[in-house]
Amino acid sequence: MTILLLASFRTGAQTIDKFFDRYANDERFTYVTVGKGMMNLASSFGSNKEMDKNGKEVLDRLTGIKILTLENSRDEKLMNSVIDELDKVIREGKYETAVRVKDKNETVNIFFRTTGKNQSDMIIVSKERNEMSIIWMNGKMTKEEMSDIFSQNS
Amino acid sequence: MKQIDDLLKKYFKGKTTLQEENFLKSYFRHEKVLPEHEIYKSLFQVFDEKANEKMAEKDSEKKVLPKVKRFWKQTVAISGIAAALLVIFWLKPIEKNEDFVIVNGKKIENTQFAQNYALEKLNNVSNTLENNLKPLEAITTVKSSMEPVKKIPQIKKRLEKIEETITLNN
Repeated sequence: MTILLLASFRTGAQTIDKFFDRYANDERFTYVTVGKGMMNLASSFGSNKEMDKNGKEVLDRLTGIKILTLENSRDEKLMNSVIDELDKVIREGKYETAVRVKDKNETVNIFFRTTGKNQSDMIIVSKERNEMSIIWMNGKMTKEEMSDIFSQNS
Repeated sequence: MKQIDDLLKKYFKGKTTLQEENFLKSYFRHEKVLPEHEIYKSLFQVFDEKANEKMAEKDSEKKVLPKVKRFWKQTVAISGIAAALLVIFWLKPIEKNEDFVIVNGKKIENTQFAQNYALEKLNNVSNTLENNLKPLEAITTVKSSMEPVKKIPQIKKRLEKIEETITLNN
């Protein structure tokens, strides 16, 4: 009974995880996962090329980045079904919209949520005409700190 | 032999003592039973067999009971261990190389490649945000340019004090 309860609790908490797991081995997608050690990215991330100390600390507190990309795809139906599925994950996971940018054929939507003890998740959905990327970042930081990752570079 | 006949009569009337019944049983257990008593032999043997069966049942119950108990003990122990392992893995998932890429269903375990790929995608998003959030920069510029305006009330207060001082001096 205890095992079942624990198992159901764990699976319930991993909706976005399930989403990524589902498409990770799908040949139409490219799946990338980067764990701890984001400091390696810090020096070359952003147009400024150099992040300040605070920015590096924030990046170092990220516990993982997962990226799912659909490249050179004219399959609008697939894109839309993936977006619909992700919308459901975002709704059920009670993410809040942080940024919505629409530029000609490109859209960037950023969603955010905290899951207690400053544990945060950020989902970035970037969509162009033939390409779509879904980036999921999580770490021990506040919404403002996670937003800083981008604001310090742009 | 008369004793046996008397005891049998007493037995069928239900008036024998336990001792007398045991005596009869031991008599019929022996092979040297008189021919006139042969008809009763099977009856007393049945009693013996039933008694033996009951004994055997009790023995088997005694043997089965610890087995059942052991089964439950083992089940509880195994469940406990499984629950503990689940909690451990739940709290601390097995550490493994988390940096990899899956392209066309093929897993490439190359940390550098994975990080570069992640970097490229993050930079794309960063650039889009940079281009589209430029108007916000203008707001920040206006805000910082307006900082001196905030000081007007302070300047006004100081001027009033100076005026008061001048008036008092005159």
